[in-house]
Amino acid sequence: MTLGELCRADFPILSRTVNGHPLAYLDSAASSQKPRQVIEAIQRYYERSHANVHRSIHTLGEEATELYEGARDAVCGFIGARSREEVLFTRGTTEAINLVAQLVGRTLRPADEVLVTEMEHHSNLIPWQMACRDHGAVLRAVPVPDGRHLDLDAFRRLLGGRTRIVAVTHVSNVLGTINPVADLVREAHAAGALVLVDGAQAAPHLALDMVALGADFYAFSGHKLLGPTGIGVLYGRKEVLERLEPAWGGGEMIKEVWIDHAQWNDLPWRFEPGTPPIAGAVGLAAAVEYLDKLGMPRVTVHEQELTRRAQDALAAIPGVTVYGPPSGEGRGAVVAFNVEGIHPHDGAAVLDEAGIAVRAGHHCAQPLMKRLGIAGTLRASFSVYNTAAEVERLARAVATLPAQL
Amino acid sequence: MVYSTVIRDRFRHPRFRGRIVEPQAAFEDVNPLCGDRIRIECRIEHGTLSDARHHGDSCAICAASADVLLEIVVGRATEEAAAVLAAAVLERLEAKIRPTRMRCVTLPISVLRGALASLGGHPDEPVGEEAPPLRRRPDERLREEAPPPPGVPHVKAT
Repeated sequence: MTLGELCRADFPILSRTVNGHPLAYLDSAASSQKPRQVIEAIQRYYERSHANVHRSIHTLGEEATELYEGARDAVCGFIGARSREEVLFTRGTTEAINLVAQLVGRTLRPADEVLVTEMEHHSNLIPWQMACRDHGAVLRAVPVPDGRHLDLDAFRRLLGGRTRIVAVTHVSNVLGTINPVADLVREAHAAGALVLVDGAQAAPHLALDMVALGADFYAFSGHKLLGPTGIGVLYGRKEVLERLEPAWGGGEMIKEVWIDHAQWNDLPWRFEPGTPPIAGAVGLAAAVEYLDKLGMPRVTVHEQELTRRAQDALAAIPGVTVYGPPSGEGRGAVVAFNVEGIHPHDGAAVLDEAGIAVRAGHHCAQPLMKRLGIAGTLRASFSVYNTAAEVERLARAVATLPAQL
Repeated sequence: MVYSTVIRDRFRHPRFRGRIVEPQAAFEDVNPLCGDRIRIECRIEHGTLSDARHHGDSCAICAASADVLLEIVVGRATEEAAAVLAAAVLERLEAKIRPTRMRCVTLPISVLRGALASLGGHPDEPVGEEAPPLRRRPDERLREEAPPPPGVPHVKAT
């Protein structure tokens, strides 16, 4: 039995039908489904242990705090961080990147440079456009000339003495390209730049080791990782976090307050003002535990096998263009494609009629779409619960698209 | 079939797709949701929309909507053309459109209004349909007092 067949039963939503067909959920890159273990952990928390964290000196407050801080430890282990002080909870990847853009943004001086890439999701582009706008810095972008990979020579040319931070995705949410982030980090650090890695499409699919990766910041979301919405993680290297001033103020992030000034709290709470997403953290901890039990290396093998099958099956259909690295090269669990003469939204509508959920559009990566010379694509993406049979269903349905429009 | 016969036919065999040489009014806009882009060019003679054409890169619903919209408005006074509502387009498309795709229907209407705005049209009036809140019943969706489209830029493209 494959991993997909083994764990499907844990995901209640997968037993429903859509338009009279069994649901084939191939949109996990947008948001994954949740196993019963996650749903029950959140329910248990709300039914038995909910209270505010850290400040409540009563049993529920203590239980909630234990669960919330326990989630931090679970995530710390999952991503291979050196200490729990390096794990900050946010509402998601977007908020995590915006936080870094504000923290680092205020250290930018006019003519400083920020280096992004053409394959970034808008959430790792717009915050940097804003930071550059606000601080007079210059935004530069590593091109993707072949429509598949970063131009590493251009990266080296663009990386200079004025580069303050490199913001790069670990795995492209469109192409699936796995960027050589450890190498990029080494070169960026040698040039004196910080590195933020957008891990939204990597954390759910690849075993992570923050120490080996070496990045200064790493951001990802809970809801793409079998966890709930409204929770995300910002990993920050302790030495870097320690020298940054908090961008957001409120309760919890302070040690002592006077009317005209305050002393900041220790890490990680310094960057977590207000009541945090406690239930989200509880759910995320359950998701991380679930993935740990499956084993991330096994998850990667399963998903890459599905991705390869999908890529090969779709590419074999006349009129279909598959984007991203060639089959055989490792890639994230996404396959973006187009069918000649068919607008992605029309394709997705027809596939939905057959119970197959895929994403269609620009995938919040318009600069990459412009590079590819297209308005959008269809995108099938995979998670632990998907099966080869679903990939076959997708390919069969895609082959019939031209006849249905 | 997911789409109505009219939508598929108008997508495959549009009657009003193309360009107008030296148009008196033109406008184009993008659907931020999907990146669809549509442009409408108009010939105006004595206050009448004597001819109009659309082109761009869009889904079947949007392309079909543009096509039947121009069929409805060509030959009419510009004021009248600018007052056409989504209900009229939907009726001609003979299709049930999901709320998530309603913007595909209304984009050509707001683009046409953008084009006619320079001639004293009513670009800011409601187009009659704009991604209605889910709490509405389907039969309420065609009511004409629907709110105006949020944030449609009325920037002349030419």
